[in-house]
Amino acid sequence: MSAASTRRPLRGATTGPAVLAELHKLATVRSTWWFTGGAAAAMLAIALLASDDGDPATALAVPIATQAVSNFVQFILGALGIVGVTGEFASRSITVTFACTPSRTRVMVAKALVVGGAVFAAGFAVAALGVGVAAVRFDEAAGIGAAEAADVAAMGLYLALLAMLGLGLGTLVRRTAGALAILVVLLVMVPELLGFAARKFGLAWLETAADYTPAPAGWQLMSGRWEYALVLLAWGGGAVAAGAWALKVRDV
Amino acid sequence: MPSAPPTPSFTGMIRLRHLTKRYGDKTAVDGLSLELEAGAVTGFLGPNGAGKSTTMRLILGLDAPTSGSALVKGVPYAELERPLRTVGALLDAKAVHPGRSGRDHLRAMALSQRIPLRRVEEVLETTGMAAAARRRAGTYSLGMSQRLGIAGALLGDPEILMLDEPVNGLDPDGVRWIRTLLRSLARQGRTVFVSSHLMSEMEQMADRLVVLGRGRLVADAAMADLLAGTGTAVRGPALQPLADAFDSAEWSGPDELSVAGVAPEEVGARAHELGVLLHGLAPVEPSLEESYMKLTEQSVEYAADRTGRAEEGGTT
Ligand SMILES: Nc1ncnc2c1ncn2[C@@H]1O[C@H](COP(=O)(O)OP(=O)(O)O)[C@@H](O)[C@H]1O
Ligand SMILES: [Mg+2]
Repeated sequence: MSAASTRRPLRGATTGPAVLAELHKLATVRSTWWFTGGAAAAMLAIALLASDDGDPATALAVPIATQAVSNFVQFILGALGIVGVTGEFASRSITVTFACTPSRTRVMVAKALVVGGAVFAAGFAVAALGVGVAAVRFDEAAGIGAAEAADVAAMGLYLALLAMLGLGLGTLVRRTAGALAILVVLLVMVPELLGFAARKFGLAWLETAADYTPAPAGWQLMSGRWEYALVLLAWGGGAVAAGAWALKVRDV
Repeated sequence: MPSAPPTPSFTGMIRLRHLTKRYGDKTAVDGLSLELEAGAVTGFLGPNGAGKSTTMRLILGLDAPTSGSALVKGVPYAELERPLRTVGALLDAKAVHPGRSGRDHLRAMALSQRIPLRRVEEVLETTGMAAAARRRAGTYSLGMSQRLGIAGALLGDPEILMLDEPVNGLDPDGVRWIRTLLRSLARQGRTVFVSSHLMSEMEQMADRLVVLGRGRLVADAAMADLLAGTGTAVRGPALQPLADAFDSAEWSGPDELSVAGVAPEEVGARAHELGVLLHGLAPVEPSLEESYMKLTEQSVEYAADRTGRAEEGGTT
């Protein structure tokens, strides 16, 4: 029957065009470049302004860049992940996206790959900029090697997974401001509150739980504990999966 | 006459079966069954809030029906591979990211369907948007947005076109352009489904009219049938014998008579027989507006909406 022949064949074979479309969309809105530029500017400012702690024995370049990621860059690139989907809800162009690619899962996978890949690249570049500038400033350039490159990659990976978390939150909440508020609360307040409660009530497991929230896990990852990438993957992947589920059960 | 498919050359490109959509306790579409055939422009008419946009969203799978089904060429829209090659839709002209240029908006759509990017330039030309293609969509007027939306609908060279109020925001030139475009697309054998809340827009565009009121099918008729039933207007100094000769004759002025449902030839012949002097004899087509009223008269609950719509129609 002709009906059968128009049915969708292999799933994997057709995610490619959706990825290309998402990549094109990401590259053709100014906000992408503003966020990336803002992240670079924040990193550069910290790398230029951070002060020497007075001990000539400690290397400063990587810790300074890590600080900049934790204090500024993570919010900016996390917001990039959010806006990648909330911008479509705000303009209603999400209806065009689904008219083009009716499978909600396929759209979500394409967006996650594109946001993850782009933010990894941007995060890696921004981190490398910070480490490089700080290394020159503190006369550490000679000491930059594979270990520092791995640290920079860890920063890129953390930021990429965080952007995926932002994407998932943005899909669930559909509003930029709401998703951003949740992300900030999750990154800043939740670990603080858990730690506070842990000390107040003497519950060590709350302290452990705090370590598994995104920001502390990211700190661990950027300190060379790569197993924390799995924790962040669970956050990012879980949020994206929840977003895909919400798209499936909700009207657009 | 209503509800029977008007043409035998019927292929069921879009098939709605008992389609129902409720939002909370509001029923937007209520048991709508409909089949759209190829090679014709089907006008989808109804006042604001009748459920036209919801029906179109259900066809595209943007909203899930509460019950019933909407099939495109026998399958749900979501199961079409590269759907823009089968259905080109314009639901909301303003649904474009304001920061992205018109060209980039279309390019993203083309990439998602493996449509060559040169096709984007073609549809930009067709819709007269080539000059504005580099501007950010947020700067477009409603008319330009409609043209960009139509460019998007044409992008995949689809067999089915579905346009929700495409005439909104267009100037008279634009309205004429859409009318000509849709007529020619239908002549190429495509299925064209176009909604409006104004009867006047449909008059020279649609082959068939489907009228929706409060989510329900109110009427479904071929345009030719609606416009059939020509009457005659006569003018003359002493028309009384003619007024007596036809049951349907009515005075429309001191020396003017209108004879409904009778062709000018017959009225002229009768005048000649009776020796009545005529100063004027002309055919009168019932306005589509009147036919529309007649069509929808049966639907009592629709009456309130109809007057609302008629007022809007009057201002255009
Ligand atoms: N997402 C929605 N949530 C709640 N009510 C809706 C929604 N979409 C449409 N409606 C309601 O359904 C009815 C039909 O709306 P719509 O399909 O937009 O009509 P039309 O396009 O004919 O003007 C209206 O009463 C509208 O308020
Ligand atoms: Mg509408």
